[in-house]
Amino acid sequence: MIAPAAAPALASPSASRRRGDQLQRLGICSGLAAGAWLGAAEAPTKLAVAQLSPILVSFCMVLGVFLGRWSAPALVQGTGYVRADVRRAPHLVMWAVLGGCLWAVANTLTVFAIRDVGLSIAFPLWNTNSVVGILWGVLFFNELRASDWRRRTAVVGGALLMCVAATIVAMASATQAPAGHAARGVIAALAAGLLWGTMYIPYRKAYITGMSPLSFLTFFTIGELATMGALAMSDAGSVPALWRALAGAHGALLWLLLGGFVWVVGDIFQQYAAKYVGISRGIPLSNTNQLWGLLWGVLVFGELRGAGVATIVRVVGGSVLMVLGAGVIALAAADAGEQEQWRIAAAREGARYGVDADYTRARALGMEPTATGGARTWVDWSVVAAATAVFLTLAAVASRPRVPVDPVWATLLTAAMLVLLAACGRWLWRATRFA
Amino acid sequence: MGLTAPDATVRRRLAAVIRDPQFWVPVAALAAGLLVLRWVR
Repeated sequence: MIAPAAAPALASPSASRRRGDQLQRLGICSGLAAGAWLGAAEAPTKLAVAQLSPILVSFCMVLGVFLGRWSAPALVQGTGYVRADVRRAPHLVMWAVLGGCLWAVANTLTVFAIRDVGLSIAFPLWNTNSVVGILWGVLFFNELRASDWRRRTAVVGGALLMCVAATIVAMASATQAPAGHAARGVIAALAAGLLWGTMYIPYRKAYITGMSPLSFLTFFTIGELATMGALAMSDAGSVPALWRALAGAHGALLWLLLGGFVWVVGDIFQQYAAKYVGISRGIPLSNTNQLWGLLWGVLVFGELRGAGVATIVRVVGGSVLMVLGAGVIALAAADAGEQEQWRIAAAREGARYGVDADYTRARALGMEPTATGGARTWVDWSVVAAATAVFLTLAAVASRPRVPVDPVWATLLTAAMLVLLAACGRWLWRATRFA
Repeated sequence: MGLTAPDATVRRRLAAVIRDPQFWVPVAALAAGLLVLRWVR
């Protein structure tokens, strides 16, 4: 394994190519870990038994996401690292906030799509975000260019296969019937897919420039929280009304914020996938979250208990197809020609915004352009302590979940997630120091 | 009052964002998303 030393150590083309291949494997591993953690994010929210409005549920999850996205960078790299990153490329703060706004609007649209057409139709429609992402990746960031036709076919075919699989699985596991506003729901779901696919433009922009994913997410979450807060306030009617709704739901808040925190872990891996394998491969790999969500629903919460044989066949068949699609994409890592195209796109980006070329080149290889201290300060520990205090306070007032849970499967799935977290997190740390 | 060097840098980078055609794609998507959201609520 090549340690994240100084960038000049990789001056030779062959060392640089080996490093590029290593980062491809790391990105694919990150995408698969992202699927596991993003899929599990809904599990804690299922434990919230209160009858809350879907927008309030989203808002509470975003509060948990906000706490996670500020405390994780403070803990892993320190806020000094984030500040140094922003000084190198300050324009990316605007892109990050814009990305956060896109996420919040898309997430709210999915709530209305599910209401109008049901999960079975809505889920595959917004999963088209992978196709949108491939389009932007090819058009703006030279992805899939100069690679052989087999790799291009594998990525596009794998993404389409996963869309078909998502349709089959979602139809089989549907729990909600359409409510009679089909066109409205379909448009809402397609719009969510468009926004979630377009949200990867800011991601990729930041990562080919050189910003660390943890730094980018610190500002992304400001756009996310501001937009979601505005939408929740508009839904509640006023700030006092929103506060009353939150106070009334105090017993469920821990589970909702915990869901947001689990989401953050998955999202961090998703960012590293977008950084190291690009958005055309990163999005479909992260979309395996549907498979993990299904495992939690079926095995832990007993959602398909008593389902007919046809339903089971559809679920198993769709899941196998999804694994195949993800496998095909995972085996089609970018070759040397395509990686050279990424470097051209990165150089263009650096020239456009006047970013130091050494910084961009070093970070693309998961390295630091100069030595960094990495020491934590009292600010970092204060951020982590504040986030911990919020969770402990909510835990003190949390209601015991009344939803029946299979403890054996819950333990096994949690263990699988923790193994992925430890393995992929360790690899990211050793190879890149989360650069 | 004249611009200081950091001010000029910030202005230059802001201008680069506005001139970047890629910037307007997510902005347009966000505007479209907000319009759809207003319609479906």
